[in-house]
Amino acid sequence: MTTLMSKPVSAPGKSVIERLNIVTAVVLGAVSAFVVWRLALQFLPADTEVRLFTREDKITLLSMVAWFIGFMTGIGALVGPFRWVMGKDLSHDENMFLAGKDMGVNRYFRYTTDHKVVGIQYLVITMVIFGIGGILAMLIRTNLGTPEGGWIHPQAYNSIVGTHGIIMIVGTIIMVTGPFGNFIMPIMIGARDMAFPRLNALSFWLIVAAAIPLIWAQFIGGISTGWSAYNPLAGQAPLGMNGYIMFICIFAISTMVAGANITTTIVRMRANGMTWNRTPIFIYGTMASVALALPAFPVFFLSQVMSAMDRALDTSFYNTAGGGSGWLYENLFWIMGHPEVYVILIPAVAALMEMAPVFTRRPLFSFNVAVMGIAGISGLSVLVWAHHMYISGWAPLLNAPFMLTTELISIPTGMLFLVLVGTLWRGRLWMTMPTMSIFALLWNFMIGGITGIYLSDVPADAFLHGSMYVTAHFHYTLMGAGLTGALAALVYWFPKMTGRMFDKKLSWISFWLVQIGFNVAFIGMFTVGLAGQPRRVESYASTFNTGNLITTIGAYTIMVGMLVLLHGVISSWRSGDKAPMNPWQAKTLEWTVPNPIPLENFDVLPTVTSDAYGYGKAKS
Amino acid sequence: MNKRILAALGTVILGAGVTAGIGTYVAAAKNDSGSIMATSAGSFTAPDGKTYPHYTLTMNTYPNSTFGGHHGEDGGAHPDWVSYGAAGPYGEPLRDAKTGTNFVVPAHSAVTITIWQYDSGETLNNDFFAKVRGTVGGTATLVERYDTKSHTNATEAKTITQIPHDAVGHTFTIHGVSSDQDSLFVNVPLLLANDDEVTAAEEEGGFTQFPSMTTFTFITGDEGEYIWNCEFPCGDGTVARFGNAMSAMSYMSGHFTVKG
Repeated sequence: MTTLMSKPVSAPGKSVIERLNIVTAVVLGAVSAFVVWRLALQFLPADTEVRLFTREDKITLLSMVAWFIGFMTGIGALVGPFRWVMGKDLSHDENMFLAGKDMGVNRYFRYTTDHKVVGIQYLVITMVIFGIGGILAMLIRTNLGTPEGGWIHPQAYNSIVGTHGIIMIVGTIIMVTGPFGNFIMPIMIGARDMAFPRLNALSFWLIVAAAIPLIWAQFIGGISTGWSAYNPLAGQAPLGMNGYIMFICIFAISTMVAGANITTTIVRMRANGMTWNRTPIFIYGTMASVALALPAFPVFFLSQVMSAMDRALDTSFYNTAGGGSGWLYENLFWIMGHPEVYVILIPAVAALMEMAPVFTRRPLFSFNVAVMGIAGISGLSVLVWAHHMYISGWAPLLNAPFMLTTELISIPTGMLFLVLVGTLWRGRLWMTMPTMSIFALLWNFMIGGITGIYLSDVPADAFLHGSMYVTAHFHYTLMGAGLTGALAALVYWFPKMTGRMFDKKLSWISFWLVQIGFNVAFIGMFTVGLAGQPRRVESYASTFNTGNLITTIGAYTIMVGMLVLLHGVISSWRSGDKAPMNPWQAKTLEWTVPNPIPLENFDVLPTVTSDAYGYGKAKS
Repeated sequence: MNKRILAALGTVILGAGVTAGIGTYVAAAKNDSGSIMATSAGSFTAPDGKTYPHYTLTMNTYPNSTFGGHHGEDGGAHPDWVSYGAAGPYGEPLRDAKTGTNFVVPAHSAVTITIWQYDSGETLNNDFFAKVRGTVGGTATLVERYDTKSHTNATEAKTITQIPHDAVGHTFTIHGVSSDQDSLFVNVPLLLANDDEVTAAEEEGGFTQFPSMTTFTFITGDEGEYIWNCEFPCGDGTVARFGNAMSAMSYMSGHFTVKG
């Protein structure tokens, strides 16, 4: 017996969980897509009448679905549910493996459930998305540098505009709640992890899975409809539209999953003593954002399912000839599309409101007004969607009510301005890049907000709709305000996420290049928009040349600034100064944990006895 | 210079290089056919007595792209799409031509274009485009059946100002965007070829022996960049049949440049 036990035991083979990673995911996804593509080609019957796309649409969509299922299987997303169905849930060791315990850098390429890993994964994919979207923006601006265009083929140009639009919207949706909502938020509320760690990993890997159909689309006709993909135009667009549809469907699932997870985590897992009055304002912003996404993205998902059915199954949801309506799509799209603006904006502004007390060394001015502002924006944002449809001819009698709700949203937005200005007022300013970002946000958001009031006004919108003015306006809000907040959040939380300080000099250089370039670019775009230049055009009348040239020069300046920032991220991460535990002397819980952060964040879960803004009262 | 700043500069240069590389690739991939220069043909005296330098262009419209030309030997990416293409002096397909739908003509000149229509047709959406507009005298010369084997008119040539809207195969329509350049608008409807002959020829892998032939002349102004396209909805399937070949450069549309 003793002899038997002392015999060397052969090393057990790796379990399925240990074998799965991004390589197996890509391989399984590609093989699945190829097999289904071949089978569909072989067995799908020809269409009974002469129709364009229907059979090809079926083949393309089936192949993309196969990719999706194969990829998610290959990354390990189905292991947990499968084991649960079989009545044998994961063991403690397996859960520790999934959490990335002692896994080193490999954990970033697996279905890892640790919220900190997911946060870093989100940060990297957000940067990749902005990199691709930024390159597409530079191609657009280069082509528009001269009136006659023609540098890029008009069809490729259309596709580039559509892809730039949707990829940047997705990038901005996840830019705060993805990296910081996942990495920082659980620690900030005193939790060991998210409420549903596996769903957390799922939400991230769904985005990776979604990326391939979007890339695929570029090689089968592109996305020629602009990011909104209006029907019936989208129903008649090339096969690439199927890539858009799959991308949105998968991304919508990701957003729903993340929304449910983050909301549950915030509501259920705050530390002892962290009452709603003591909950940091960033948490409110994050929760408002994902809570808005919860009802919005299922609608977006369904709008695309119906779009796919119109293309591949010959239904007529949006086809007027078959009894459908293009207005149906417009309504479904904007029921998602306008709350989505605030899904982007609110967490970015909330992040800056979180930083304002830190860098002014005084309490957040009127915390309750900040909360009311966030709640007010959230509530009103679901009641404004049809201002995108004033001149579409749909329900003209509703124009006035939608104008009212849209203009009302200025009030809670003004509350957030008041909170930021009030916090800065007579504060002892610590001039960092995040501090300057607060000023930049106030400037940019003021321009974006005021120009938006004209667009909310029915008579003015009749003139401005579909012009470059609209493009400049929403860049001022989403980029000028949203991205500014996200970049400040990156510099602010960089020490906690990486254990290194962000290079101060590079953060300043980048800040000024981006902000100056941004204002040059989009003031120029406002001028040509007001002069009547339509958006989404590949060439334009020479009278608009000066404004477009200025915009292109501004865009190049932004590119330089963003590349400096990229270098700052890489170099600081690799060899920046080691960060102390609390370099900003801030009072929220994430700064109470050491660098590097332990797997479960806290040895003992904290108890909160006051709010996070106890910096004393400045004389004001 | 500070080492960190130098490294950042390197990232900027690298990033700009990547962007430029992708842009160059995308720009090169547009596969835009080159331009056909109008051929000099002496001088032209307009009805008002003014004399202009005279130039000519010849082109064909085909029911598909298998003629090759600027689409390539096998008809390119969409061999079944209708297309314009460069033509020889008697309407013969120029199968090796590298250029197809972009044209360059001199400023302040008379330009005579001859188009052989090898495709059949249906009904226009808009009767406006069934009328000849912007040509010298507001007319064009139509030969309903041109024999491409004997290089002779099989039917008599006649002067037209319009054709029936349900007998249009394609149109050749030049127009510009609103700008400070000279306005130029020319529209000429092209009579459809016999449908049965077109179909029979297609089944044999060729084109009808008897296309219609339309000739017209117009006067150019100052330099300008214009586009031309067909206004007959022949791009089956998409956007009220204005998609596919109708919305793709080098099929049923192209650039029309007037140079000094």
